[in-house]
Amino acid sequence: MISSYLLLAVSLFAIGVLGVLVRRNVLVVLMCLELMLNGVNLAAVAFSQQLQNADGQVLVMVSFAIAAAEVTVGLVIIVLLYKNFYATATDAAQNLNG
Amino acid sequence: MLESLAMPVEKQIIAALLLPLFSAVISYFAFNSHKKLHVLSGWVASASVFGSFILFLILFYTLRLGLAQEVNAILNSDLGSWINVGLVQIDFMLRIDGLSAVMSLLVTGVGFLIHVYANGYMAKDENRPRFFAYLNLFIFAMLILVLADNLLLLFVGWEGVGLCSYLLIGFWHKDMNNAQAGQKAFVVNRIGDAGFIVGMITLFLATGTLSFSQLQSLAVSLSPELVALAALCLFIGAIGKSAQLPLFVWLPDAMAGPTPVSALIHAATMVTAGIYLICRLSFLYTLAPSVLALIAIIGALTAFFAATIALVQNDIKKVLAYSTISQLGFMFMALGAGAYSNAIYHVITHAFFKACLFMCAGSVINACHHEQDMRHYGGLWKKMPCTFACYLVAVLAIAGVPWTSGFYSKDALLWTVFSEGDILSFLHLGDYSLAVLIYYLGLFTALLTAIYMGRSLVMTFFGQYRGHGEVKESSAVMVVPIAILASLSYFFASRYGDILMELLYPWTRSDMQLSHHLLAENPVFKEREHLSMFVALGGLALALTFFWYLPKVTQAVAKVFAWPHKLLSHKYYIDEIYNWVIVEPLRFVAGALFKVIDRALIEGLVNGSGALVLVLSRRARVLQSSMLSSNVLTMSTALILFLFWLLW
Repeated sequence: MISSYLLLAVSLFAIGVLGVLVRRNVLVVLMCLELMLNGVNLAAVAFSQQLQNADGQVLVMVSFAIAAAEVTVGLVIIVLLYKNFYATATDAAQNLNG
Repeated sequence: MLESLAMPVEKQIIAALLLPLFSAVISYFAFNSHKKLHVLSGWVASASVFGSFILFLILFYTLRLGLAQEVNAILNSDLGSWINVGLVQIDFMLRIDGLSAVMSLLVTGVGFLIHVYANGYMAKDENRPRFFAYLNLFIFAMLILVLADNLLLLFVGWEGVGLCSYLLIGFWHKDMNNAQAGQKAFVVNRIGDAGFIVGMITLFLATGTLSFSQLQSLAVSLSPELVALAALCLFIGAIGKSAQLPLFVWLPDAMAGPTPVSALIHAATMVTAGIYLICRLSFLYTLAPSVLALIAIIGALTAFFAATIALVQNDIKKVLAYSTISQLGFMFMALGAGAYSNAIYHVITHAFFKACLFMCAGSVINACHHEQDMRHYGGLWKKMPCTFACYLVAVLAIAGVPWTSGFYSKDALLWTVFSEGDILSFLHLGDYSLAVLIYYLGLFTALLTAIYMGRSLVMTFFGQYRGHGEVKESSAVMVVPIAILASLSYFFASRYGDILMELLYPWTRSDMQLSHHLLAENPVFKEREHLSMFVALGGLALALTFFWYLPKVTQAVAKVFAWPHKLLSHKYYIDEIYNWVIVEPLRFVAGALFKVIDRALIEGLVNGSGALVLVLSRRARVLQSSMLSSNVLTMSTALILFLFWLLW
C-alpha cells in the first residue's frame, strides 16, 4: 500500500527537480519547487499513516505554513526581477558571474 | 646703559637667530596668499634681518666688553639638551666668540643690504614672497652654522644653507637649465658632505663629544694619524661647500639663480662656510701640518685655475663666479699657512667687494633687459654713472689697489704664505720652498685677477654701447645698498681692520699678531707689499691697454693662441671630463640596474604573483557562471552524492 504513495511522492519530487533544472521561466521554477515540496509532504503523511504516528502530519502542517511564506517571498523576488530586468527568465540575472 | 637696555644675553641670541625664521614663515604662508601683500614680504624680510643685525651689534659690544677683560670670552645660549641617548650627549648650544660675532655680523649686515637690493631687483617677479622666504631661511640657517657650539649643530646649518642654495638656484624652475643647475649644486655638495660626516663620526668615536670646547681640550691627546684623518675628511666637506678644485663645478652653474642670490649665497656668505669650518676647528688643523699643506696647495691651484678661466669668459656673472672661486682659493692658501684670522679677514673684505660686484652686475643685467653677455654691453658709464662708480671701486678693491680693503686683506694674506716656512718644509723645487712657490703662484693669480676684472670693467662700461634697447640707471633701492658696499670695500680695512684682528686674536698666527702699522716696518714685508701694489696696478694697466686701447691686438693674440683660448673658454673641459668619467658610467650602471633588478626582478616578482593567481583562477571561475540551472544541477548532484555517501 505504502509503496504506491511513495512512488507518487518520488515521481512528484523528481518532476519538480527536473522542472527546476530544465525550465527557464521563474514562475514555472517556483511552481516546480512547490511540486518538490508536496512530494516530500506526501511521503511524510504516508509514513505517518503507516507508522500510526501523528508526528509526520504535524510536520506537514508546519511545512505548509512555511511554504506559504516562502511563496510570498518568492513572488516578491519574481516581481523585483521583472522590475529590474524586464524578464521572467532565470538567465536574465547573470550579473554575479566570476 | 647697554645692560639695562638689553634683554638677557641668551634671549638676545635666540631672538636674533629666530627673527629671520619668523619672517620666512610669515612670508611663505601669509604674504603668498594675496597679491597686494607681495610688496610687504620684501620689506618685512629686510626689516627682520636688520633687526637681527642690530641685536648682533649689541651682542658684539657686550662681547667686546668681555674681551677687554679676557681674551677667550664667549657668550653662550644653552637651549637645553638636544640628543641624549646613552653616551651621546649633544646640547642645543649657541656660542658667540670673536669668530662667530664677526661672521654673524657679516651675514646679517651684508644680508640686510642684499635684501633691500632684492626689493628692487625682484620688483616685477610674481613669486616674491617665496623668494624672500627662502632668502630669510638662508639667513637663519647660516646663523645656525656660525653660532653652533658643536659640530652636529653646525652640520644642521651646513645642510640648511645647502638646501636654501638649491632652492634659490632653481628659483626660476620653469626653465629646465636652472633646475638642473640646482640639482648639480646639491649633488656635488653631497660628495663633500659625505666627507664631513665621516670626519665628524671619526672625531666623535675618538673623543665621545662634538662640542668645540671639549674637542679643543681633547684633540691634543689624540694620535696624529687620527687627527689628520678627521681633518682631511672635514676638509673634503669644506672643498665641496667652498667650491675648491675637484668639486668647484657647481658654483659657475649656480649663477642660474637670481643675482641677489649669487651675491649673498654664492659670493659673500655660504661659500665661505668651508673657510669658517676650518677656522672653527683650527685647533685640529694646527695638529695636522700635512693636511694644512694640502689645503694650501689646493687653494693655490684653485685660485690659479679659476683665474685663468675667468680671463676668457664673456658672461659677466660667470666671470664673477670664477673670480669667487679664485678668491676662495686665496683664503684656503692663508688657512694652509696657518693664518686663520687672515683668511677670515679676506672673507669679510671679499664679501663686501664681491657682493658689490654682483649687485652692480645685477643692476646692469636688469638695465640691459636680462642680457648677461658682456659683448653686448659697453659704454655704460655714461648711462649708469652710480653703478659704474661702485663697480670701479669694487674692481680696485678686488685687484688689490693700495689702501682699499682688498689691498690690506690680500696683501697680508700673501705675506702669511710667504713668511710661512713650515708648509712641507722638506719639499723643495730648486732653491724654493713650497711656501714661496705657492706665494708666487698667488702673486701671479693676483695679477690675473687685476687683468680679468679690468677686462670686465672695460667690456661693460667703456667703449661703445653694443647692445639694443634703452638703458637706464637702476632705482635708488638698488643703488644705495651697492653704494654702501662700495664704500665699505674701500675704507673698511683701513678703519676697522684693527678691531677685526683684535676680535680674531685667538685665531691669529703668532707672527701676525701685530697691527698693520707695526708689520709695515718690517723691510721684507715692505718689499712684498710694493710688489703686490705693482702687480695690482700693473694688471689693471695691462687690462686697460689691451682691452680698451688695443682690442685688435688682443683679438690677434687670441687667434694666435687659439688652442689655449679654446681650452680656457671651455673651462679646461672639466665638466665634459666629469661627465664622461663619472656621470655617464653612473648613468649606465643605474640603467643596467634598473633593467635587471627593478624591471626584471622586482617588477617580475610583483607582477608575476598577480599573473599566477589570474592563471590559476581561470578554471575556478567557470563554476561561478550565474546560470541558475547549472548551479542547481551542481547542488543537486552534490546532494545526491552526499546521500549516497550517507547511506553506504
